[in-house]
This record gives sequence, C-alpha cells and structure tokens, in this order.
Amino acid sequence: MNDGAVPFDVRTEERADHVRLVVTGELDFYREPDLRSALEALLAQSPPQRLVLDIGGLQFLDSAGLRVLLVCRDRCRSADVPFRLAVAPGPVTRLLDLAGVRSWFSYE
Amino acid sequence: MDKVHRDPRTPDVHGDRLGKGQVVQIATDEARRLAAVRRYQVLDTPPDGAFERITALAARLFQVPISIVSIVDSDRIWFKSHHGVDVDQIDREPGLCASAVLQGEPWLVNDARTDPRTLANPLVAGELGLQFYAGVPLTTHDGYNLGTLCIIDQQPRELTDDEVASLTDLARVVMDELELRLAARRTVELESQLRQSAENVARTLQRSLLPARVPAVTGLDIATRYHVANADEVGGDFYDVIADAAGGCAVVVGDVCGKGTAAASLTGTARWVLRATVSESWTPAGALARLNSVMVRAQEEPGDYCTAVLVAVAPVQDGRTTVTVGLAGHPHPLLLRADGTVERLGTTSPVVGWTLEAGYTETAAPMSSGDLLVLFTDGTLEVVAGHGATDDQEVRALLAPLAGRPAEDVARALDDVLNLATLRDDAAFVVVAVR
Repeated sequence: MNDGAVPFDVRTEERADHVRLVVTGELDFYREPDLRSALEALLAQSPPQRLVLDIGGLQFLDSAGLRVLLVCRDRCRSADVPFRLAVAPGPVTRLLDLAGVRSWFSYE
Repeated sequence: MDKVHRDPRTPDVHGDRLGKGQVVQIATDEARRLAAVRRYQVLDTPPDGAFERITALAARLFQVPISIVSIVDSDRIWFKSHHGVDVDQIDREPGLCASAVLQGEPWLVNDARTDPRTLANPLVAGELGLQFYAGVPLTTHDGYNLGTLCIIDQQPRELTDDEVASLTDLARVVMDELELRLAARRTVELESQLRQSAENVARTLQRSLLPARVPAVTGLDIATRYHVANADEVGGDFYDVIADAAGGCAVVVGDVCGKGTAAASLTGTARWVLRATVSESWTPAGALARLNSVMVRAQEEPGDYCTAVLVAVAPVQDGRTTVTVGLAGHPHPLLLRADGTVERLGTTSPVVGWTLEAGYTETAAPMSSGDLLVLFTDGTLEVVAGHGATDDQEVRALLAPLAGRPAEDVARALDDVLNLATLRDDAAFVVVAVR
C-alpha cells in the first residue's frame, strides 16, 4: 500500500433530513461486502428518509466496488428509500465515466 | 530393573511393534527392500538437524559414545547421521546394521567379542574395537527395513527392556520423519501434476473462447493477439472476427469481469450471442443491447458483467470503408491514420450485464488505405500506460510511428511491450489495416 493511503472505513452519519454512509479508502472486491452489510444493517432498522452514499473520500474503486454502488442503489429502490451518490472529481468519477454508468445515479 | 540377555532371534516381548498379534510383514525380498530405500530418496542427502538431534539424544540417553542413523544400500551402509564417529559410510559386508535390517526386531549384541554372530567381524576384532551394538530397524509403513537407528560402545553393555523400548521409540521418530518427508515430496509432486492439468484445461477452454482462425476479409489485413497473464487460469478477455455475407466483417474485443470457469462461461455466452447477432443484419448498438439483455436476465442482481467494443466494418471498396463503433464501458479503439495522426473512436455506453436501463449508441468513421484500427482490452492499456491507467496517451504514442505499416508489424510492436511486462491481467488486441 502506498504511503498516505487512507484505510477503508464505512461510517454512518445521522443528518437532519437523511442518513449518510461515508466510505473512505479503497472500495474493492475485498471491502465491497463491508459496505453491503453496513447498508443492510441500516435498512434493517428504520429505513431512512433518504440515503446518501458519500464516496467523495474514496481513493480507489475497482469493478467490484463499482458494482456494489449499483447494488446499493437497487437495494434502496426496492426498500423505497431515495438514493443519492455524493462524489468528488477524481479517479472515482473518471471510472464512472469510463464504465459509462454515471447517468445511472442521482447525485447530491 | 531386570537386565535381560536376549537371544536376538526371539520376538521382542516389549515392543508392541511385534507383540500383541500384530505382525509386521518384513519383506525378505532384497530387491523390493532396495526399491523402498530408493523411494525415500534419502541416500547421499546432506546432513540435517532433525536426524542429528536424534543421534545426539540417543547417545546422551544411553550414555554411549556412538549413535548412527544408517541406511542399508545394495553394497554399502550409508549414515544419514553419525554421532561420535567421523565416517559417513562403510561397506555393507562387515556392517552390523546389514544384519539388523534382516530382522524385524531390535538386534542386540551385548558383548561382540564373545557373541558367535560377531566375534570374527573386523569392526569388532579390528581397530574400532566395537563391543556393544544395539540396532532397531527403520521399518516403513509397508514393512520394509531401510536401515537402523543404532547405538555402539567400545565396552560390553546390556539394555533393560525399557531401554530397548526407548530405542525402538526413537527409531520410530526417525521413521516418522522419513515418512513425513516422503509425504511432503509426494504432495509437491501431486500439486505440480494438478497444476499442469489445470493449465491444460485452461488452455483448452481459452482456445474454445477464441476464433480458431481469423477469416480472410477482402481489402483488410487483420492481426489478433491474446497474452495470458496466468497460465492456469482462464482469463476473461475475448476477441472475435466474423465475416459477414456482404463482404465486410464484425470485430469484437471484450473483457468479462471475473476470472475462472464462471467468467469463461460468460465469455462463451457473450461470444456466441454476438456471433448469432452479427450473422443477421446488425448494428453494434443493437448487438450490445441484445447482449446486455441476455446477461442481465441471467443474473439476479448486478454481478458479472463485461466491457466490449464492437466494430462493424463495411465492405472495402477502392481502399475505402466505414467503421461503426459501439463501446460499452471499454477503452476506446484507436484509429491510426496513414499520416500518423491518432483518433479515439466511439462514445462510451454503459458496461454490459448490469441493468436493462442501459442504452447503447454507436458512432461511425471513414477509413481508407493505409489506415489502421487498433482495438484492445484494459490489460493492454495497463501494461503500456501503467497500472490503473485510464488514459491511452501512451498507447497513442506507441502507435504513431507505426503509421501505414501492416497489421502484423503493429501487433509485434505491442507484443514486444507486453512480453517484457509481468501481466496482472490478460491482454487481448486486434489490429485491422485497410490495404
């Protein structure tokens, strides 16, 4: 791992009008299940008014990480929870563009 | 403790190795015994700690100057470990271990000078002056005596039953060690055989996912490559060139996300769906939409997917053609003009296989004689441009000087770069030149 790498973490933040899942570090094949279980835990409680998946602090996203974003979106859709992505320009948005999937998501 | 004088030919009453009705089958056939010795591959191996510790322990335990782990070969007795004597092998003829291996039990000589079996033995009568010898055969699980663990003294000795039992236990430790090493070696051999066979399966499967040969298409010159990252894994890259009835062709390069047999099966599906589609009147955007629908319906949630570039090449007339490009989350194909300029073709549509929402578009570009079209997977991009690269600047720079060259020359230039690299991912590419 490179110097300055941020360890992977999923954090849940209660906001006034939404719940925020903040993901930092590298979201890849190995970490993707962690995000899934965080989301499932959240939906299993009382479903939030709106869910924002904040990936603005992600340093790296691989194809499995990309896939789990879509899984999260679909999971929220079936739970009737509005879903938004929060992104910051960088490698992650570049990957969304290269995969041609940027338009699949609503953004905060 | 009772001191027992034992006739060595009477069964060992103490060791359960022979007692309690358990009969160890001592193979008397010397040829088979020697085959067993060879099987353990211990002769002439360097000294090592495990056996050194056992002989040192035996010498200390029984307070004798000499302890040896011996292996009886056809014409010599070779010492795997020799504590207290600076000899690593002796002739088989006078060796007492050779006598011991003929027994299925400890071979004890309490006073060699008076024992009729040994009194004339040069080791006894000669300089060494051996007077006490106790050797326990090293018996394999299938009953062959490879050699002995023995202790030797220059004074007469007697062992108690308990001491004989201890020496027997130590001999088993020696044998356990030898068995363990044999098993470890077998495992390594087996693993290498399994790997070999996995590689064969992978190669066969991989071949089935690629066209047997590239069809000849009038006016075009086509080169294809597949560089394998991992010989025992089926990769997810694929390519295809399909001639159509009108005289043009379809060129496909794709990459299935995932590895192994599941990915391979998806690769096969992708390839045949595209083949079936292309044989009708087709468009790249339509073919991607169809492939997407097949793949999405095959899965419960977004899972395996593929990226692909599909190019419809119109029949070449007077050195001119049109290429129509559909691009699904895949690196852009590069068009190297005869004058050395490089264009990036296609507009990105979504990856295939995740959702029916995905819409697919296509773009067209003219090509003429001397122009080259290069389609590749991200495995190729990564090697040329560096890990994690999403920019094709390096590939463009590599291609530019190759303007106007035959497709095979361009393929070789890419090969040179790929062959030097350690591939993290498979790398496939197709080069199409207009003649």
